[in-house]
Amino acid sequence: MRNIKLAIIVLGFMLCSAFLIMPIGAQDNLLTEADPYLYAGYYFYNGEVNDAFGVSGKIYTISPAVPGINHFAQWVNVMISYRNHYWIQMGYIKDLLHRGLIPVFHIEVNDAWSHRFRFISTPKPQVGVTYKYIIIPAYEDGKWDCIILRGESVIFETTMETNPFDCDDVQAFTETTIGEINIVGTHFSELSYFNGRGFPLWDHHVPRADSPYYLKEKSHYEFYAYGGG
Amino acid sequence: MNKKVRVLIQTSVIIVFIITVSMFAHYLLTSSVPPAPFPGKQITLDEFHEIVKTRDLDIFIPSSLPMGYKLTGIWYMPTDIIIVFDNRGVSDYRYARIGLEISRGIITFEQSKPYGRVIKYETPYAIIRGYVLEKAHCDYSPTGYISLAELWITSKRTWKTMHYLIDVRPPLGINELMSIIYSLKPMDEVFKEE
Repeated sequence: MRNIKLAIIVLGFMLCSAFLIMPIGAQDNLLTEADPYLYAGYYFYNGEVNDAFGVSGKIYTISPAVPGINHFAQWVNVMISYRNHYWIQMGYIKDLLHRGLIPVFHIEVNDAWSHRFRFISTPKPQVGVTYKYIIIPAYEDGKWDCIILRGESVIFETTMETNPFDCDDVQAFTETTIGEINIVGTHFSELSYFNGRGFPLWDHHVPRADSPYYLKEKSHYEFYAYGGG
Repeated sequence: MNKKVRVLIQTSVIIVFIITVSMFAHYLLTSSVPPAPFPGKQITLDEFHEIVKTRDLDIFIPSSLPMGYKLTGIWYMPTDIIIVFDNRGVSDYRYARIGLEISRGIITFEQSKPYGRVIKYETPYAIIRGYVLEKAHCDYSPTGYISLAELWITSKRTWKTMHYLIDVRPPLGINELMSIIYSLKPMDEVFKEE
């Protein structure tokens, strides 16, 4: 009788554990449905004519505490299709479950072929350093050049192919999955768009800051963000 | 310990272990940092007419839809227009079953890479060229897949070329998509016919 009671307790404990773990695996679908991501940054879109064929921007690297299975990321993004949720994005991410205590550079593509997420193992972003991220059409077989610069030096470069090959908008955002992440220190600057000839600075923008985050809009091409924690 | 109880515990441990590992594996393989959602707004047909007139655009929409489908929403931002049709009244730009996303496009048809079946044809109103994919990945589809066409449509009235992504979500498929593509006409003509 004592053994059976013990067995029931152990079994109950294990089932409870499984149900507690389940949301981790289910998180992706839940997030897609409810869009619980929190954003602070700029959309570029507010122009009557879209001359943006690519994007670049400088992002100061911070490393806030990220609790549990959440993530914090800062990036620039080319939106290929809002309707079908297609994009190409580059920046850095801090995600304890995947990569531990230090931020890593990342590239993400979601398009008609598939979803691809790439953590860049080397180099690693250094906290307190500003990097410039560039996504620019390579004009070769639907590919994008993805470049990271530290100062004038290219520290990482690769090409990514997308299908379709288009740009409906560009974005520059800080993103978290939970308001407990404190994003103080966030600084995006020299946000530029590629117009086929060069990289003019953004001459318009649309801000977005989800509570508990706030933006300090310095210009169309520069902002600070803070809040959370 | 009773043998049956021991077997029960061992089996449970294995099951829980498998569930845990598969959940973590799923999470690790599907990490994503999605961009900020569509910042545009839903507008009325009259407002849309006004925008189209002001910008002197020819917008092409299907003159023939699958049975029961009708226009349910127009979503607008200056660089991107999404027009959706549905047979359940769904106006959400992500989940309506037929969608047209219209933008200026960053490359021409000639510069593009043929990613699917090539389409080229001409109507009294337009020159239509592009590609069709029977099965394209899409997060917002209940099956994870859609049928998708990427088209460059040059209006014979304005000689402007616009970039169209036209898609259908399940249960609609490639046959419905092809019918939609071959029924494209300028919006004014479609409403005149109605």
